[in-house]
Amino acid sequence: MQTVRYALVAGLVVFLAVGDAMAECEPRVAYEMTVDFDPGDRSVSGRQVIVWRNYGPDPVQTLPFHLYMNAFRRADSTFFREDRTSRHARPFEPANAGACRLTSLAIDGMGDLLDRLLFIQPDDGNPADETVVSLTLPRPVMPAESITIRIEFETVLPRLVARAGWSGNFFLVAQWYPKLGVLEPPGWRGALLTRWNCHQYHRHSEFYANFADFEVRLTAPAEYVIGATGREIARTPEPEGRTAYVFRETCVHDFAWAACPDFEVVRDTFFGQVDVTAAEYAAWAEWLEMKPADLWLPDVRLTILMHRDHRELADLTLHTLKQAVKYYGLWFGPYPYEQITVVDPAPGAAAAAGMEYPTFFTGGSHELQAWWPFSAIRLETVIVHEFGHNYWQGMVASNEFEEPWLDEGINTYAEATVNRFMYNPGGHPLETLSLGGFLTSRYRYLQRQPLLDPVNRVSWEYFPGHYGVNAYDRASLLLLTAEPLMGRPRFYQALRQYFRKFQFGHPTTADFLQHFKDAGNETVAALLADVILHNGTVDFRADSIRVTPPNEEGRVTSQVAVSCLGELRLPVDILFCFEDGTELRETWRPVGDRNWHEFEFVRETPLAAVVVDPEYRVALDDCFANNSLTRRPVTDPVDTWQGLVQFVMQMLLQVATWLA
Amino acid sequence: MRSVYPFGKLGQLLLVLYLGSLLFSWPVGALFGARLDDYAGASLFLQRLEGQPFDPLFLAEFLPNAAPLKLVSPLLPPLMVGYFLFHVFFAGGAMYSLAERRGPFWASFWQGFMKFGSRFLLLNLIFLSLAAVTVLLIVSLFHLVQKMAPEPAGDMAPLYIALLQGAVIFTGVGLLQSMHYVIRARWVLQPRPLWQMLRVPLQGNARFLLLAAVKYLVITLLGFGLAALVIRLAFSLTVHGVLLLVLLQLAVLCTVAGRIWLYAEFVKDGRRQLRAEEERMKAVPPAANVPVAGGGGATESGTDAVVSATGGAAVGGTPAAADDSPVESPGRENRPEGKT
Ligand SMILES: [Zn+2]
Repeated sequence: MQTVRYALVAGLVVFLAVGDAMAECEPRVAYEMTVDFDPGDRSVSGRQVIVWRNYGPDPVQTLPFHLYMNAFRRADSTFFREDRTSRHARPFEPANAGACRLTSLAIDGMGDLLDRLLFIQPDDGNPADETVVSLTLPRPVMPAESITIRIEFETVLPRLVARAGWSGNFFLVAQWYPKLGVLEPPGWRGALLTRWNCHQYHRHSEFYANFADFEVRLTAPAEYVIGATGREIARTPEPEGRTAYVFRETCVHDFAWAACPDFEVVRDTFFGQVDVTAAEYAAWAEWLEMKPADLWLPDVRLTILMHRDHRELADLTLHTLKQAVKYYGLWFGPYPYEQITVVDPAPGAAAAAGMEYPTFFTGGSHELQAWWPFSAIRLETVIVHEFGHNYWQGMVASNEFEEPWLDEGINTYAEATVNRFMYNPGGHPLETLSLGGFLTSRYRYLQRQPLLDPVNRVSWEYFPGHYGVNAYDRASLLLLTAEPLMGRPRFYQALRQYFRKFQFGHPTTADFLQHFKDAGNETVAALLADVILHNGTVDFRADSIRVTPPNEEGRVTSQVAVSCLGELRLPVDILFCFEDGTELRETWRPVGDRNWHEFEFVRETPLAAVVVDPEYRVALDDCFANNSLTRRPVTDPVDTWQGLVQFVMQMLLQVATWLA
Repeated sequence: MRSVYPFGKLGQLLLVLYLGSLLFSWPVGALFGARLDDYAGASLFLQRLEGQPFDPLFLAEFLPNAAPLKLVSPLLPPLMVGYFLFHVFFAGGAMYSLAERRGPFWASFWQGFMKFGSRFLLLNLIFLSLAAVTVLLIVSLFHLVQKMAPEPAGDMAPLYIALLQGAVIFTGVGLLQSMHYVIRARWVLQPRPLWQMLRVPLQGNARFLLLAAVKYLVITLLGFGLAALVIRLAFSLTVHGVLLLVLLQLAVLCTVAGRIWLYAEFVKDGRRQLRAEEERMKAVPPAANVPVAGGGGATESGTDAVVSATGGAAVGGTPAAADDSPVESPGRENRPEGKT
């Protein structure tokens, strides 16, 4: 009975909550597409009708479109140019090129406009890049006027290099159709005058678009299993062994799909009243200072397209997905769409793994992960991370080109935190190899020192090789550092409020910083601004311990110097350990231009050791190893490590004499 | 005679190789430990580690910052080269003293070390280049086949192919190594010019070669396997320093013992081969320039020049010119006495 009543009440609340959330979304454009998928040619071709309303105050004379598959058309496209600077550059092979061609373009009332198209390169002026095309209209589109654009296009998918393309009989079809840029009227993301924002396709970024309504009618060979953004609302057999699918979704900024005959379909439902216990609702309600009823989560249909080689991992994927739906939902707000589809890339299609599209994402598994010890390399992190992108970028649709940290950084933090909710932290050393978790972020952060950019940069303007560490890892560690400064519940609340405020919007870094300024914690606001905008760093150190001989009363003076390198001014706990076993804690905060401080204790026993930040709360500290100092070396663990090093040395030497 | 070898020849050799191995790796470990000890207050950080399962944070934290490791890294290349040379020269001493049956052990070891070490090095360089070419060939072959073959099905396929490639390389190199060891063993028993020695494995027993290659592989894999095991233990348990050290020494001893056993096997086989040849020589009337003392030939330095001058056509080598040699020719000692 209790359950039924719960379900009824919850259902009502959910209905209201979802209705409410979706009402906040205002789709700016509608896409209706009818396309044919030909796996033999690796092509998708068809028609597209775009209905766009000028929502700005000014007349608009040009329309820019993304034609992103052209990034894979030539070796000197901006994508390949940027890729060349990376350590794992992939060569361009003409036989495996991709392309997106328009065969006709007309606007109702303006006639055929195909001849008016011109490739433009707003980001880098690279004339070889054909990923953005601009259409000059014969007459301007007036404010509030709607136009209907009719396009016929053919997309050839590239062999997988990055993100979209094919590998064997697996297809990830993303960024595959002509898509309008984003009109930014004055006031949008800091725009002073009406402007278009339509970036080229880059090595590290591809997302920024209006929220839109999609209806896609897709025909494909019947043996192919298809998964896509949104809900499948129809499936009908067609002649010549083909099947037609219709997918529909509202308030999403993109539409992607995948096809492979080797997918096995696993379906389940996330039940807001079963998969989350009343106790969990209550705990989160207390955490967030809300009523449990305001946290209730709606049901979500889950579809997993698992490659049959990885079928053993389907249960784990499903379980993880439910956990992600639960924790992201409780923390930031309910997942408002009815459906989520997860695609498991085929073996050999790793380049398509871990990609996020609205209500649709790819995981990434390997048969080995079903076996010890490789099972420690967690499949879960990628599922949690990519699901999380439905929130960060999917719904809070920041500009990934210009401010990549806003989605990747916040989402990496959220993913690592959700992983902590899901599992006990620490454990197996192989975990260090898996993607995700604060430990990995910390490791990459240390490896790339010194960092030469602030967290926030246009994605292609970071120091070579420093995009990931800044946009993902450092941003994640920054939020982890801010967490205890603000108090964990307060911080969780502030992030939730930020999400709710900008759900179905396009916030900027300035909006984020302003939000945290308004949240009222000056230290946190300053910390965020210093690292995100100014490359602020911090390294706390314990510098010296000096002990004077006992005075006539038998008391000794212990002096401890601690210092803080870097620009950040954070309060930090310091633990003082005395030889009689007593411990003392103090908080120190460097002020102004004085980067050090001396503590003095006059006591019966001298100081034995000092530890700055004993709980490692300042996750951004450039080096934890210099945080502590002891007057008497501790030798036991040193023996362990010297033994281990000796062993490793021995093995290295054995390799050297393998052929001796 | 036996009283000359108080712990047995193998035992003494084992001790030498073990101590030598320690000599190369121990200072590095000690240096690391000592440096870690006073490295910017790491001690307390380490203290937190005690009594806890392995903390990956330590790895994440320490490796990028580890001054001790940075200190060790420039030492690595010279250490590796030094250890390699030590092994080659040790093999000279070990095989010679195993072949030699008279005189004090250390004298023969030292003599072999000095004389055969340099010869072995030369031989080794030849085999290293052979090994390099073999590996290159195998890798290119796999590359070619992979290019021609369709996309591998399943994500285990690339792994299996890589494993297969590894196995082929390992077996190929193992076979080369066992040929190399056959030459070494024969060289200390019956010194002749290098170019003549290179033909020895081709005349030898194919079954023995194959078996030796397998033994060589097993010993090598045992070394790596033990390493993996100990590292795994160290990473997952709270391993106390002493326990780790004991495990380490055991693993080192095992691989070192394996190597010496292998050397002994090769010397034993070399003797068998020589004996077989001797038997054959007895059956056939000896050629004019072949000494009656079958099998054994030259011993000391200087005789090699004579050997090359007279040509290598004769199976038995050249007249034994070193009657005044302090150590008798090991070859002469290869009478079927049944003891080694
Ligand atoms: Zn991401």
